[in-house]
Amino acid sequence: MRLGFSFDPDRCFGCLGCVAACANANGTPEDLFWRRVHKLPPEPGSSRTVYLSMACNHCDAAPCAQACPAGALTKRPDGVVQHHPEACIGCRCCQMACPYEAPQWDAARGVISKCGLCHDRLDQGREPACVETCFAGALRLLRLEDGAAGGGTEAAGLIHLPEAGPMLRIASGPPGAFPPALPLPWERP
Amino acid sequence: MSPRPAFASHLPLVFFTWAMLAAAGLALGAALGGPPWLTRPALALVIAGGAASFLHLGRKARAHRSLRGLGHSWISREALLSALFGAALAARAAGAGLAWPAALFGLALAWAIVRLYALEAQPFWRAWPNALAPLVVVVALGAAAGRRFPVLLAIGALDLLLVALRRRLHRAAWPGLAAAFPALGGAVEAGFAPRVLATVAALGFGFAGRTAAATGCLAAALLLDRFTFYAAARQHAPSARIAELKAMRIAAGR
Repeated sequence: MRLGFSFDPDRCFGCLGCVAACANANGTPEDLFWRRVHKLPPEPGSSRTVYLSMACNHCDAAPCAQACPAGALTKRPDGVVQHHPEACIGCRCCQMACPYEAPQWDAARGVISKCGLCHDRLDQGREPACVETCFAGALRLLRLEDGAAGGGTEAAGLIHLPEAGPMLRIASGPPGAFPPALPLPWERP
Repeated sequence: MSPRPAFASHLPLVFFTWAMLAAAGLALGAALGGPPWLTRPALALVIAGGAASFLHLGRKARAHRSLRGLGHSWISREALLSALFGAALAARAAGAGLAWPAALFGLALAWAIVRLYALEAQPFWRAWPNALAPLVVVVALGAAAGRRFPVLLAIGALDLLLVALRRRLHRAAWPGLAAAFPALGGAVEAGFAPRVLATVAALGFGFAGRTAAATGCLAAALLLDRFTFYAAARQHAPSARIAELKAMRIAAGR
């Protein structure tokens, strides 16, 4: 199973709950955010501000892991790009390689740190903290083998970035046409 | 919560890249029959660049781990080639011949740097005028230091063409970014004119037979080249991705 985030900009209203949940769950320093919410200016003819919540996209061909000279970034079978701080030499080359600025510099420890898709929570059968917190349902966890991407056809209503095969999928299309995703807590049987 | 270009923190890498590429050019010049004094400044550059690279590590005690990724990481290969290049230069400075081994290690190191910065997931970085430019300046530097003036003229002309292409690339990629990051955008724009002047001056000095002046001008051109490239790259990387996402949403019919 390969996991990734999906994000629906139409549902997000920029509450930053995902940012706070990520920081709380992972105990990141106060000036370091693995997940960030980008505020995009309204499109022409619209007054609506668009928010984009982004963290590590756990790329298929993770450029950070390819660049890392110390083997501090590895990819798990479920697609999670995991950082091993005990192996990191703090060269910051992964920051250059990543097109999404996912690796963040932890000045206090002298190493980078990044979103690990809350792999410890995943191992316990729980969702990532940001996904669990998003009560708007904008941010969700996606099983990429469920027809959304992977080696198969892209599901309707999803667009994704071409570089490095990121596992972030941006939802598109009318509400209700949401792509296959793990059910939200209140949708579970 | 908005992306910010992290530039200052990578300045040691800009210096390291410049120092190693300049040393590679000087070593090439020495192998091509340049004056004997070229080896010592090349060695000094390798030592200074290596020190800058080492000191910028967050965990210096783990520096030896930088060689663990030789199978997949160009950064590991760059580290290994830097050590080999430095050793060859040191042996040459101590009296051993080794002019061509040092030059070949230098060129291999320059190639590793080219590959390292041609990042697959960063379209601006991997654009061929950006990727090839440092290698072209290294060869020009070698031709100037080695007093091969016809080669210098040809390579210098190619260098000027690449500068023009890169400026066009920088401006065309995301015109709105200059407003978003005015300091970096201004620095990039301000770097192009002296960059051209340095190459033209090197050509002039080269034909006047002033090897040291031509070499110095090309070393300055290389420094400007690395600075403008990195400033532009940092400027393009984060916002380009966000802007692309937005464009894709628009294209998807929203």
